[in-house]
Amino acid sequence: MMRMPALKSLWVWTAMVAVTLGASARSVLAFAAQQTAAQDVYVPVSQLPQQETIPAAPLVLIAYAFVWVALVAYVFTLWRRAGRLEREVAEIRQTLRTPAAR
Amino acid sequence: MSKITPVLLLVAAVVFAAAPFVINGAPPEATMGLVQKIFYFHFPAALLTLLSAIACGLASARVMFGSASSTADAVACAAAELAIVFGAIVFVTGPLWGRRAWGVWWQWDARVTSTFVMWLVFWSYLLLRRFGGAGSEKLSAAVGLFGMALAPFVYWSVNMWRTIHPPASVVPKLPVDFAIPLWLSVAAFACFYGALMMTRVSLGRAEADLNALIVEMED
Repeated sequence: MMRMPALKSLWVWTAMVAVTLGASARSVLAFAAQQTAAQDVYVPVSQLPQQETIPAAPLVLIAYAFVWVALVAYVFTLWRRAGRLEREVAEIRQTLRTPAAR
Repeated sequence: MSKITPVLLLVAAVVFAAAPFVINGAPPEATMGLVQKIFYFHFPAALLTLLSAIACGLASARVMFGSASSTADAVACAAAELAIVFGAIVFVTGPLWGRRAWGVWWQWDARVTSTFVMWLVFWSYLLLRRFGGAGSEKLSAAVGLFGMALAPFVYWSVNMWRTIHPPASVVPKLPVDFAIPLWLSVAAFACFYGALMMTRVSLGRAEADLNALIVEMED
C-alpha cells in the first residue's frame, strides 16, 4: 500500500532534481555564450540600451506580504494538525468507554 | 503548549509591530534604494533557514546514533518543516530584491544554488517522512544529516566562489542606521521561530505518543 505514495514522492524528487540540473546547464551555456560574445565584439557604452526602470515599492510590498502569508499559512497547518490530534484522542476515549472495548 | 511559547509570541508581536516603523525610518541604501528594505526580512529568514538545517542535523544525529527519543525525532521533523517555511520566504523575497538589484529574477550563483539544493534536501526529508512508511525515521535522519552538512557550504559559498550575492562580511560592517532595524527584525523572527518550533515539537511528541498508544491498544 505504501509503494504508490513512495513512488510518487520519488517521481516528484526526480522531477525537481531534473529541473535544477536542466536550469544549471542552461545557465552555464548562456554564460559561455556571453563570454564568447564579449570576446568577439567590443560595444561602446553609449550604444547600450537604456536600463529598464523597475519600481521598487511593489517588490518590497509583495516581499513583506509573502512573509506574512507564509507564516500565517504555517500556523494554520499547525492548528489543523492539532485539531485532528484532538479528534483522534476523543475517538479513542469514546472507544475505551464502550463496554465492548473493556 | 510550553509556558514560554505565549511569552515568545507576545515579544514577537510587539517587535513585529514596531519593526515597520523602524525599517521605514532606516535610510535607503545608496545604490539599491528602497528595494534594499527587503533585506530586513530576507536576512533573518535566511539565518533561521540555516539554523533549522543545523537543528535538524543535530536532532537527526541523536535519532540515528543515540537512544530512541521521540523528542529528538520531533525536533528534527519540526526543524525540517521550518527550514522549508523560512527557505520559501528566502526564495520569494530574494528574487524580488534581485530583480531590482541584479536585473534578473534568478541567478544560479554559488550562494543561491547551494541554498536551493539544501532546501531540496529538506523537502526530500519531509517527503520521506510522509511516504516512507514504518522505519523511515532513521532513513530521513540520514537525509537530515546531509542537509546539515550543506549548511557550512551555504555560509562560506560567498567566500569560496565568485558570486554576485553580497558577502557575509556585509552584516558585521553595517552602519548603525541599518543595523538597528536588522537586528530588531532578527529578534522578532527569532522569537516567532522559537514559538513555532516549540509548538511543532509538542505536536510531534503528542502524535508519537498517540500512535504508540494506538499500537499498544491493538496489541
